[in-house]
Amino acid sequence: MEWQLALSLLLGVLFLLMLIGVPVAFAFLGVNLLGAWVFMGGEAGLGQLVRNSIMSVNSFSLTPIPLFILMGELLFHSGLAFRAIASIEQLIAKLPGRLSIVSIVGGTIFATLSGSTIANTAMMGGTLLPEMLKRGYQPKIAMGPIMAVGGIAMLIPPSALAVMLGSLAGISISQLLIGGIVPGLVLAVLFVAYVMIRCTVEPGLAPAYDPEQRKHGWERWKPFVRDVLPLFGIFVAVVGSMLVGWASPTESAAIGAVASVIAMICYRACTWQALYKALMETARISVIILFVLVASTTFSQLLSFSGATTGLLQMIGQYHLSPVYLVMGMLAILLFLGCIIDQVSMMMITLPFFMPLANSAGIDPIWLGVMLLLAMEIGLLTPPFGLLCMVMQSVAPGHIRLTQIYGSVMPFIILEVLVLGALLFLPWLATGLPQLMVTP
Amino acid sequence: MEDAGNQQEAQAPLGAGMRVYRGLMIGTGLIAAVLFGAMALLVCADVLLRNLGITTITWSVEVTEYMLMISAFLASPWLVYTNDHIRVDILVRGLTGKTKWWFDVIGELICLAVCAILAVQSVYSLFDSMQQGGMVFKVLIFPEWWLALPMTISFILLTVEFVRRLAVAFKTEHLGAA
Repeated sequence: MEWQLALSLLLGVLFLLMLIGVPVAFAFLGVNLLGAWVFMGGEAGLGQLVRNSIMSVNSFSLTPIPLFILMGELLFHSGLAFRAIASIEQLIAKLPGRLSIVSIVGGTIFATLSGSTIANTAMMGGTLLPEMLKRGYQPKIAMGPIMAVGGIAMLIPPSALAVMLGSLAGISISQLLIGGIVPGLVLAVLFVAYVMIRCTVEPGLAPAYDPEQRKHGWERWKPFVRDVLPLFGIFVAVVGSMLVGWASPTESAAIGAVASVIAMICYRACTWQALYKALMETARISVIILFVLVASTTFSQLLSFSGATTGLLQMIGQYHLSPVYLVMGMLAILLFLGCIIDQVSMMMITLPFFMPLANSAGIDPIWLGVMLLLAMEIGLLTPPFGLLCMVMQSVAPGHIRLTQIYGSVMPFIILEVLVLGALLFLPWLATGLPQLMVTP
Repeated sequence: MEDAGNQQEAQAPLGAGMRVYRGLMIGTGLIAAVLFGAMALLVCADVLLRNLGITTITWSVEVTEYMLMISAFLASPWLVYTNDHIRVDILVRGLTGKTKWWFDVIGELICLAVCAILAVQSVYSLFDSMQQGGMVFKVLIFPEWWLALPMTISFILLTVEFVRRLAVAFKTEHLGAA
């Protein structure tokens, strides 16, 4: 079979199954069955498919996915994350759009303690949004920052999806995690600047004055010192153990999870109920990701086995594109896919093509990896299939329409695309910090 | 997210059989949750003992890998039961009534066919492996067919769950028509 036909068959059936509402994992499994039958020799191919599936998640490098998610869920369900946000609120005063800024700063801090974008958005949306709407914030300035900062959890370590990208693409996971820090912080600063400028230009978006009692001096700083600073110990444990070589990135995730439980015990917030909820939610989110991985691993192999990967790579190779154009093409594809499918599927469909192309063109894998992460993070926000928009819809009051949610996040998508452009032409934003790392 | 089990419970009290089934589904999720917690403790203990120069838990990496695999397979039927698997519903989201019902049923039928084929293939693969008598020789030594068990159990449970969902869909349609 011609590679064009093989590619059309595999991708066509996959997208068709997804569009008629078949869950993503089962759409991959369906197309795998078809592909294994057609390209791998009938029944023998099906047997191979079963063996491939069993081994697909049997990898130590994937362990941080549930463990990074567990960190965020523990802090979320124990109430420690809420206390941290409340204390940050005390610190930020007299700024236009104050609570929107609190959501960005609080969300960025929570991103350093959680590897789950969903937990981040659900936590901020569930706590801050009702309060902001009650105080007269317009939905567009209340919801946008919460969703945008949720995506930052994908860039700033710990990040479950960064681990998955590193593992699947053969990129150093520790360097990729560290590489996401600077772009993540740049985004947070830009989001804060945008909210301040927007609320100054259009004062009707947020109340000029928050009527609550404000504390001064030590009373104002005390909650921050008590409820936030000690939590940084978890971030230091995760990143520090990696940097000094005591633990691999995989092992650092376990340290982070146990450090989160220790923090819960120290704050007397460790209850059986909180542990049960955190573990069950971790199981739910992790198995969603891992089962898509089980289902889609064979898909990548089928693309290669059918000749589709080689055929497409040879065709692109004929154009002798420069690395920058290649990367721009990859990012454009990811931005488009981000509108219609989830992040795990995006990786499984595109990485078999992207990584050989990048390796042959001599593209720095860390630079590329961080940009791919950012492009996929944008996909968490872009309609119609923006996962974080859906999370926001599930926690927002009933009168908020989905179109309002999409509208509120649009300016932040533009800012993220600008940062993506900056990364394209200033690679050191992604590669600078990893180069300083001590390799274990 | 919508919880099929809860939704059903809200409509009518569950019979004893369905209560056991619901417990089984939640139980598979609970196994995954416990394994993830154990994974964190095991890896952390290994790092601590190694860096203190006391000992190395040689089997920790291997056991962690198996925990990950078992969790991914065993808890998947639970996620179908609670409607939590990711769906790209941009096309079907706007549908209502009979058209939506047809799309749902076609989707469930495809999933049922996929899971039934994989369940059968997994059972074949399991028996093949048992007959050949192969062993896994890593730090731990055990029969190779043990590795095929989680996938086999998972796809059998998934097949049962999709049959249940189709039965519920047809029952609802029948009641609606009546």
